[in-house]
Amino acid sequence: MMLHTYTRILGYLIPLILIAAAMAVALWRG
Amino acid sequence: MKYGLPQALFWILGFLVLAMLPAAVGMTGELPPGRGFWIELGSLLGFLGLGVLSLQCVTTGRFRWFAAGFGFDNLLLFHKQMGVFALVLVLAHPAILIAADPVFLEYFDPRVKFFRAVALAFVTAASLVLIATSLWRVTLRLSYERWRLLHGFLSLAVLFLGLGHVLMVDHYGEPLWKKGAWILMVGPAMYLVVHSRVVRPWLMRRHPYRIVEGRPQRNDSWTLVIEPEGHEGLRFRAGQFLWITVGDSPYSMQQHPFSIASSPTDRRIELTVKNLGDFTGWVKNLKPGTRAWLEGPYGCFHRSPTESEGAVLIAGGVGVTPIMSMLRDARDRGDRSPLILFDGNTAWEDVMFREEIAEMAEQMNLKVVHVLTEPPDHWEGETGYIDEELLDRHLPQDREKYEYFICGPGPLLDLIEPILRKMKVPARAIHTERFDMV
Repeated sequence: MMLHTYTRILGYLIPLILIAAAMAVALWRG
Repeated sequence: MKYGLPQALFWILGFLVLAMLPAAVGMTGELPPGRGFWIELGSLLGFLGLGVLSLQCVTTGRFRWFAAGFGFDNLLLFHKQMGVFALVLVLAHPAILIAADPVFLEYFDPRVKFFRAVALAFVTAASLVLIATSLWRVTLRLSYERWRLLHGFLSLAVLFLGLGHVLMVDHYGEPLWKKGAWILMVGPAMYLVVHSRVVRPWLMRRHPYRIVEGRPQRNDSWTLVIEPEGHEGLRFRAGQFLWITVGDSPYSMQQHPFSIASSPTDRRIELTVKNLGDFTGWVKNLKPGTRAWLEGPYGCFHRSPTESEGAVLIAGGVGVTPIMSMLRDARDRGDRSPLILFDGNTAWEDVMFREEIAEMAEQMNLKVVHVLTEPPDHWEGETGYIDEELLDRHLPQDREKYEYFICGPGPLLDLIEPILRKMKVPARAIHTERFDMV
C-alpha cells in the first residue's frame, strides 16, 4: 500500500524523523 | 506483487535505520569531547547526508528486488524527495559548522589544503547540479540520455568524495573498525550504480532483440514490434513496462521506459509510444532489423494472482497502453471476470485501439466507457473528464470488490485516487502508473 499521496507524506516524515534524531544526539553530545 | 502495510513499514523502518547507520557508527565507542550543540549537529547532518545519499542508489527503481512492491512512480517520487533532502543535508552540514565556528571555512580554502578544498567545492556544486537537473530536466532542455549519464557520474563522484571526506576528517574515526564500517556501507551503494550502468548492460548483451515492424497509431503514436533473437525473450505480466535501448550495443545512449501493449502470451513484444517530441517522436524512424535491448520487466501495475471480483481500468490518452496488455491478456486467457474500461481522450479520432477494444467488448465480459473532452457532433457517449459523478454512474454496486488500475498523466491520477478512497475502495486495490514519471 504505497499510494502517491502516502509516499509524498512519507517523503516529508522521514526527513523530520532523521533531523529530530540528529538534534537529540547533538543535544546529548553538546 | 504490491506490498501490504507490514512490508511497507518494514522497508520504511529499514530506510530509517540505514540512513542513520553512518552517524550511529560515528557515535559509537570512545568519543572525543563534545563541541557544543551546533557543531555536533552540523557533523551529524553530514553523516546523515552520506546515509541518505547511499540509499538513493537503491531507490532508483532499477532493482526489481526492491522496486517490485512499491510501484515505479511512487518509488521515483520518493527518490526525488530524498534527493532534495540529501541536498539540504549536504548544504546544511558545512553551513551550520561554519556559522558555529568560522574556522571550518578552512575546509574550502585551497591555500590550506588544495585538493580537499576543490573536492568539497565540487561535491557542493555537484549536489546542486544533481538536484536541479532532476527537478527541471525538461525546462533545462536536457535530453533524458544526457541527464542519465550526468546523474550516474555525479552521484558516484559525490558518494566517493563524501566517503573520502568522512575517512579523512577522522574526528569520530577511532578505532579503525569504524572506517571499515563506513566503507562497507557506502561501497555497496556505489556498486549498485556501477551495476546498473555497466554490469547489467554487459549481461544484457547475450539477449539481443530486433525491431521487426513499426506502424502508426492514432493520437500521434507509433507501435514498435520487437522479437527476441536466439532466446526465449522476457516473461512479464500484463501491465508491466520495460526499458528499451536501441543500437548495436547495450551501452547505447537511447534508453527509455515504455509500457508493454502486447499480451504476455505473445512472443513478440509490442510497445506503443506517443510522440512527445523527444525519443518518442524519433521511434518512427527506426527501421525493421534495428537491434534493441530490453531491460525488465518492471512495475507492479498488474492483476493480483488471487483474482479479484473484476477489474476497473481507467486510462487517460496513451495511458491505455498497459491496459491494452491487460485486456489482450484477459482475452487470450478466456478470462470471464467483469472488466470495466474508462478511456478518457480529447477527440474520437484520438482514441487508440478503439476498433480492437470494440471487438473485445463483444467477445469478453467487458464494458467500455469512452469519455471525450471535445466530442464530435451527435456524440451520445460521456463527455468532459472522468470524475466522481461519472464513475458513480457506471460502477457496479459491489465496486469495493474490484481492483482498480489507473494509468495516465499525473493530474488524472491525483483526481481519481481520492475519489476511489471515498468510495471505500481499499488502498491496496488501487494501482497507479504515471506515464510522465521520467
